[in-house]
Amino acid sequence: MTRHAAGICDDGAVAGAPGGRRARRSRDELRDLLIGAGRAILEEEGLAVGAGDLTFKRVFDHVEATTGTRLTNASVIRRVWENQEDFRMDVLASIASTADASGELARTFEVLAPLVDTFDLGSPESRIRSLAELARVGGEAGIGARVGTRDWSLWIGVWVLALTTAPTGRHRRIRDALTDGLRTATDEWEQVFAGLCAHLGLRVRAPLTLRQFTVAVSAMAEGVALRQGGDPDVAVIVRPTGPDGAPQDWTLFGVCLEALAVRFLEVDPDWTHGAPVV
Amino acid sequence: MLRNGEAGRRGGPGRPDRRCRRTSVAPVWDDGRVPPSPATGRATRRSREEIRALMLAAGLALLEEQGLGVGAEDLTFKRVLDRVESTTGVRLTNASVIRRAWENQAEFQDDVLIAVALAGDTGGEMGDTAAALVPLFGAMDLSSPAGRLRGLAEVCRVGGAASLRTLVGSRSWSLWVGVWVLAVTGPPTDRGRRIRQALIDGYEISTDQWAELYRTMADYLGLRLRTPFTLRQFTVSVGALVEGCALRDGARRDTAAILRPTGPDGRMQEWTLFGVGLEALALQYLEPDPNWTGPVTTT
Repeated sequence: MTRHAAGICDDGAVAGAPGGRRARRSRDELRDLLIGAGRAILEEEGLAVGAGDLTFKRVFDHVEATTGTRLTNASVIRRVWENQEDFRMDVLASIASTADASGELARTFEVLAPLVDTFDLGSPESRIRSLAELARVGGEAGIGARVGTRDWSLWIGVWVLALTTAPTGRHRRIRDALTDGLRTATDEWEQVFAGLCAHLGLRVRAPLTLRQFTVAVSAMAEGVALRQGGDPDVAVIVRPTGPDGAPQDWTLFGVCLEALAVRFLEVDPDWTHGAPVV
Repeated sequence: MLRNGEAGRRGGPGRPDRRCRRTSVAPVWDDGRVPPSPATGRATRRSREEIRALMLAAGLALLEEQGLGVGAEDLTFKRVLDRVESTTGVRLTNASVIRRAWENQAEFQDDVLIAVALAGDTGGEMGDTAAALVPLFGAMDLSSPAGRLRGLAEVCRVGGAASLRTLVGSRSWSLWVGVWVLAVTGPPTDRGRRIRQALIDGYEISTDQWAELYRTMADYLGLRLRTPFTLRQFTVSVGALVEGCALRDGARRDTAAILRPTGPDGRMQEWTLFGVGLEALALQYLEPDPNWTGPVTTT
């Protein structure tokens, strides 16, 4: 058994204990010591960026199995990427840049498009009821597009891992891609909300902005989707919001979306039903 | 290894150089060239962009199949043992821990993540939020439903700012949410299940504590839950919003304050986006209790 200069031997025994006898560090003491050190390292450096298993060899095998193309290190190293780590960062950056990878916008739009034609827009009250129905149906579609899809899981995973690491060097590329992707997705959603507001005769309450509403809705959706992944209790809420008070199923996100819409938006008194939307 | 552009110089177009091994019968060479096509009889070189696209698609497919991992892969025994020695003077070796404290390094990594998962609110979000709210209590006008709703708005503004600030600046929160994301979005594995269970245990405790804080706040302001909502649904909604906002703030730290005329006599006050959203949620879930008779005082 090796005896080290420091106060512990490699079997966990502590040297120099009173009485000349070696006190053995217990299994629990060892665990506490090392878990504390491990946490300290993670708090300083963050979690690994998550692509540690993505080796060139595995990727070459996948390419060959799926396309018949056989590649080797010589095909890519110093030609396409400096090294394997450079490749991993590229993969993660490409995930980070696609904020709507799960197709949430398209899926939500698909669900909402037939709905908007059925709305009664004849009075301010009916327009607010239509807004609630949009929140209910659109909320369900929006959260469904996230929860359980691998694309969204990967994207949010890369996002969170990028946040836990220092914004230096290779990780900055991921953060930059993430920021660009978020900006693009927010722009697209803002346009959708602008169109819906114009259709329903709603406007943003001063001094709030449509951009702020869009960011709040996105943050809410991401937070709820993350919670829903680990908290199945937040599944369905039954509310008497149907015709003549009939019960309707709401998702938690739909309820929150309605709350945000009511706070950020109001009936536009100057709106004219049937006027062309510019 | 061949650099970009060297293949033609060595072997000439269409004919692989001896040093450029043909690695298989598959239709590409290890310098990226494709064997002669039947149509032209000439070899074409697969471009850097083509190879990049091919490889990226394969990398994405593998991550989609197998997830991002557990996030602690860099936490090797060697690095941790070095850290222990440099911070405590205790020198340990693999023999001290393998098969004694943990079966292997992966099991150790899981235990560290589980410790992160169980730690809950070590960033002090709840304490900071409560501390920011204490000075508000004596100044609220609770004599009318309108005054109580104004009090609620101020709680959202001040408490929301404190809560978000603590989360965004907290290393332990970003670690916790990182472990959460990897566990709930990753494919179900035995390793993931242990961490996930620890997260759910910590989450339940934290959700109960926050719910208690909101109950106390609602009782003080004479508010009750609107039917059919539950306190847990409100708590989960607020937690989801603050985490979503904190993630956004982490990605873009240029989030500007929102000025609203919510102060006395319509004076402008600074709001965070989370504060505005929190007020929206509070008004959705809570309403003045018409049977309320005043705050309960403790002696």
